[in-house]
Amino acid sequence: MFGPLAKFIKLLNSETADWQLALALCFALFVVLTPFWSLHNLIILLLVCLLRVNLSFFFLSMAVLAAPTLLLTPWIHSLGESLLINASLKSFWTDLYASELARLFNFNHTLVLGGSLISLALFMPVFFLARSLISSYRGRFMHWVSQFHLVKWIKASDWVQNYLVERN
Amino acid sequence: MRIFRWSGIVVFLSLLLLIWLIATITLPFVARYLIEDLGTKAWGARVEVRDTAINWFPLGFRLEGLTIADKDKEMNNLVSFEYIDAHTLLLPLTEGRVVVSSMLVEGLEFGTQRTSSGWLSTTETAENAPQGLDQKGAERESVSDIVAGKLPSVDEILDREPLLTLELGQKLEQSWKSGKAEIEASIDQLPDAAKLKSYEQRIKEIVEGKIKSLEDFQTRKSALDMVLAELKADKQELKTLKEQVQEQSRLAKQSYAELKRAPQEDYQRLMRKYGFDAQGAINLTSLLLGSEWATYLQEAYRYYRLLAPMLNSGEQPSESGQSIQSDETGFIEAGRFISFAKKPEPDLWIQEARLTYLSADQEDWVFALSDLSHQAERLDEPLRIRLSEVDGNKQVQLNASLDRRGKEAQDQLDLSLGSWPVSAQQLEGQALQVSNALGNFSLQASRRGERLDGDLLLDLHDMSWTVREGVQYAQSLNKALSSMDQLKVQGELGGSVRQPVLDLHSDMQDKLNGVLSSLKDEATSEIKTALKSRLDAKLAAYAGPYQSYLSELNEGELSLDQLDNKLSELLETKLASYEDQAKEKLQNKLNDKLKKLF
Repeated sequence: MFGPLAKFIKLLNSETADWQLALALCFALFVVLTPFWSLHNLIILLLVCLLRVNLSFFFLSMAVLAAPTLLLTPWIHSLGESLLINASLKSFWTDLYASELARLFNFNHTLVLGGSLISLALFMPVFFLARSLISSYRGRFMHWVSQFHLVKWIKASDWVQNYLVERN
Repeated sequence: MRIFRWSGIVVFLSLLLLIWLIATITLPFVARYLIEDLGTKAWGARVEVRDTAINWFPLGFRLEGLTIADKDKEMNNLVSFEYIDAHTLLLPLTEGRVVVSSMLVEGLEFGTQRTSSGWLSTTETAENAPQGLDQKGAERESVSDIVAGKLPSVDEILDREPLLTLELGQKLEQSWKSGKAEIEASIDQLPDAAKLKSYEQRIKEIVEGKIKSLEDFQTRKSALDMVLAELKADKQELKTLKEQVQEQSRLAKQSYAELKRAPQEDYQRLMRKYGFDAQGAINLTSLLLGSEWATYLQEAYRYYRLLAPMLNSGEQPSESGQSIQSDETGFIEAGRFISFAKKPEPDLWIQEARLTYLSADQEDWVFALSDLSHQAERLDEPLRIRLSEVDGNKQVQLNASLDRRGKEAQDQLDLSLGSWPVSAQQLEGQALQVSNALGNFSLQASRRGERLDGDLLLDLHDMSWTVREGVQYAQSLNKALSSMDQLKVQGELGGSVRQPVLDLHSDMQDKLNGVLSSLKDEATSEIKTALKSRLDAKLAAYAGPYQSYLSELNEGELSLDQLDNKLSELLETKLASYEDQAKEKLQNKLNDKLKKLF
């Protein structure tokens, strides 16, 4: 439990640019909201590797967000299904279905479509919100938070020190 | 601000390589597990794979040593393959479906032996046993034995067959023994001659002489009552015994009547079973060439009955063409694919397959299959099976289609064999063997729903016959058959899938009927006579003791009647004497009183 928390605090307090952390969070959100073994996740992984996204924060966010987003699965499924069986969209989906590339991305899977749409819709808001929060934290709260006894205790504990040293 | 991290491509490729390595190592094991575990559960008997491998370019898999156990035969495989090479399409795989664009199957074999049992502990084997032809086959086997030079002797027939004559005879004998013992025990309880004499003596003593006083009368009366009570008890016992004897006699007569009819019934049944009549001879002729063909036909039909139900999942596609999901909770967790094709595509679909089968005479037959799926209702075309082989003059052509797309099954079979040698080896075990014959065979069969229709034609030419050594009347048979070098068999297939009927008729029957019936008459007339006399002898064995038993019963009945008369006589006579005396006494008293008055 302390490992991710310590890592999280360390990353927030590091010199890593805020957009790198925010982007990592957005990509992580995309991965956890859609089925893992999907072609689009390979593209996400490529982007994460290619862009200067903080890899540690990306994997950390995935690990932290995976469990809570599971609770959203029924809603994601419902959204995807309602769109896919919507009569007014049927001709659009049917045309898309004729494209092998589109089918490779499993657009006609309820969780893929629902999760992708939610992720896309949240991508920019989450990016800017996260970036703003990280900037605010670093500008206003970092010093204040570091004065907390709990944070001091965590940072001072041998285990955390060892953990951070080992990881670095 | 630098946005790109070009070294990230190396990380990405490394990750891909890692995923590929893990998949390459683990997927064969996963595939093997899935095939064996799910296959065994779905089929109901063991499905095993010796080895599996995944091919990436082109995408596909290879299965080695796949065996599917026979649900009906514990130590046999239904089908086995040396190896299967399959190419799969990527796109359906991403949707969780397996579409095999082409498949090559080598070393297809049917009915191979297993080293261990192929059954699961809970497998029920009898349920799926095909009926109809199998039953017919069993019948044929017993008759076939008779043809195969094994005309059984009378003793063999009488030994192997449960005879009604014996059964009823034994029943009569048993009833006779138990009845006799019961009657004898009851007879011991009846009064014998000495006892009867003592009754007479006692009564005489009581009733003789004058009654001196009222007390004397009372004493005599009570003594007489005692004797009469004993007589009544004996009479009652006698009555019961008489009824018992009458019942035994009735049963014995009834059993004897049944026993008398039994030899005739046995005889007729044996005649029917062993085909010693004219119809039996005609049936036997159709077996001479039909047993081997019938085996092939039975096996093919058995495989058809196993395969056909697997072609249709029974799923009804919705009007919009989208597949209907029934498991509401399952697909919410995993999501589901919604198809926008005109028809939802099958989850497992083998588009083209080539199966190489090593025939009995070590020739490769290559079967071509197309559109094989367990969800035939989702396909545009029916399952087609084709075979076309030419080996010298020998030809085989097979065109079959199994259509399970509609509500009603519609299957079509067109099979033709040209210049097909009918070798002695094929008819091994038969009394008559056809050597050096060539056959042209054609079969057109169709199925609509449960109804079967079809025509069959077998044209045999350049025939020569051999009669196996040890067959009765071999010489006469050889001579008679030497003129027969051509035969035609026509057949009509009808009935239902559950109970197919194959009606064979041919000039073979006409030709062979004459030959065989005369031979069979010669062979079987002796058996008929011997059988009748042996059955009569068996009847006599039981009838003799029965006659004495019946006469014993009759005699017993007669002596019981005599005893009954004697007891009645004693009872009635003595009662009458006593009344007369009392009347006389009263009359005398009355006369005395009248004299005194006048």
